[in-house]
Amino acid sequence: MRLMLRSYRAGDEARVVALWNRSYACYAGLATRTVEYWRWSILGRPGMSADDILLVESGEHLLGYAALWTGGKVLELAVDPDESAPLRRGVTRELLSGLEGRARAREWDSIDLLQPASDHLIDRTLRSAGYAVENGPVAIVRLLNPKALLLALTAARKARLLPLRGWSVIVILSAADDPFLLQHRLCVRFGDSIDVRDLGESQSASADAELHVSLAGLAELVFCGARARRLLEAGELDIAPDAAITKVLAFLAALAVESPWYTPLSDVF
Amino acid sequence: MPHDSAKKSKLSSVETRAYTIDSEPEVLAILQGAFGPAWGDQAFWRWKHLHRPGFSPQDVRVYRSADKVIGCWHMAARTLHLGRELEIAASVEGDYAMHPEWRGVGMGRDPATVREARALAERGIVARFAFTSSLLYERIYRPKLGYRRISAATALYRKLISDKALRERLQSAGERLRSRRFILKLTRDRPLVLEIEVRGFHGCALIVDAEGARCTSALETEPDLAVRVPYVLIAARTPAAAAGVMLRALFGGELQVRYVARFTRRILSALVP
Repeated sequence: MRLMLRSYRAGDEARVVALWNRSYACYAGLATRTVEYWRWSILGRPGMSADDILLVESGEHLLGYAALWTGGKVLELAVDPDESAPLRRGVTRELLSGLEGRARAREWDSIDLLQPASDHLIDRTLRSAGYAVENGPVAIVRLLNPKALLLALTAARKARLLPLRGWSVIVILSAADDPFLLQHRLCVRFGDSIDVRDLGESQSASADAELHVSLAGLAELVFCGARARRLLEAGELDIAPDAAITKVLAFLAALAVESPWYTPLSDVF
Repeated sequence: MPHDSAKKSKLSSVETRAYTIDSEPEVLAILQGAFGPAWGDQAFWRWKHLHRPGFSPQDVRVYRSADKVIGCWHMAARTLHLGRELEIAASVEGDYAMHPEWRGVGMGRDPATVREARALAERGIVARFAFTSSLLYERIYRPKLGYRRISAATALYRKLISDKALRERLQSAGERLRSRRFILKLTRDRPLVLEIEVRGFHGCALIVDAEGARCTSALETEPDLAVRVPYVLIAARTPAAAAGVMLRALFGGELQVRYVARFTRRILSALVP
């Protein structure tokens, strides 16, 4: 297959955005792109030259895209995830070669990319082209509205939570080192639908189990890959009665974001 | 660092307001004061915040005391994808800066900032995200503000492409090398000169002497050792990784060394006075 590398032309936006969204659909941590957002984030960025937005095509088929910004920062790089490994490797090399050529012409010192290391093909291609992993920005999170988070997660994981039907748990949250605790007690009831209710500080309610966890502990379970059993053993969460431990751990395991977390340079705030 | 009572009294004078056009120059001055001119100019600030699709004046919080801007904080509301068929409303936050006199007063835990958090929740924000360095995370964001580090797949890949950047990298490696006791002994009487050729770059000389390490484009004197190495060796981050790369390069014929006998004689003369 013959690969053609060229710069952006007006009218490419929709295809670029579609390729981007398809490439990173299975990742967490990204905002789904729209043409309007892409035009602002990439094309309209101060210092961006449209010549440095590169596309790799085969005939009419867009296979890869990358956007190079000042100082050699690659804001975005996407390669069609549905193509074969050799073709994806070839497209990545073509993009890297184009990016390096342009960066050298502008006398920039280095090329920097934020890519998901979990994409082993891209990772190996970058390493074999001489790219090394350095200390990058650290993504951090704090919870603001645990009720809304539990509603979203339990709705998305409804099928996995079916064995808990007819059961209920009260989640008692503590602030720990977070100065903002807006909800203190949440009651989660598993029925035909999953109901999450804010009990406030005083409203009484009964449930099959009680889970005590800090706001940061809940964030660790959902976003940071922490295992509930480890937190339980470390005394960072408490479950009563003991007989409910298995069900509470199953509930917490279902809340974890399992997709790899990826933030491109264009989204780093 | 002010005492708690002094901090409270200082904080009681702080007002928080949303963005207004008149606060823009002072906000920019605060950002440039905290992050340096490289943060960007007014056009960059306007692009990043004011012209962002979906921008709300509430996304910029301006802290004032005695009618002067003393700090600022910025956010963007995003619908964040958490995997297939799962999205949450999130705020991505940054460009948080305080005037030097107002740093360390506890603004992040102030009741006014708690009210700000409530206002964010009322806007439907579920979780707050930010980006920082490992150092600031451990020092401030985790212990003082309750943030947690996301287990992310994101990795920063870097490749040097200019001779200047390569020489800077080699020079800092030379400085690290010079801090070793044996190298200090080796370079006490005369400099150690290494001719280094990295594939894809022009050759250079690394000179380590009693004064320091410097990397030059031209070889000023006869080298003690000459090496030709692949770029991946320069990029290796740990001694173990470098050793692995060296072995592969050696067997692959990508590693070439000259003047080994001369270099060995010099090592021996330093070992045996």
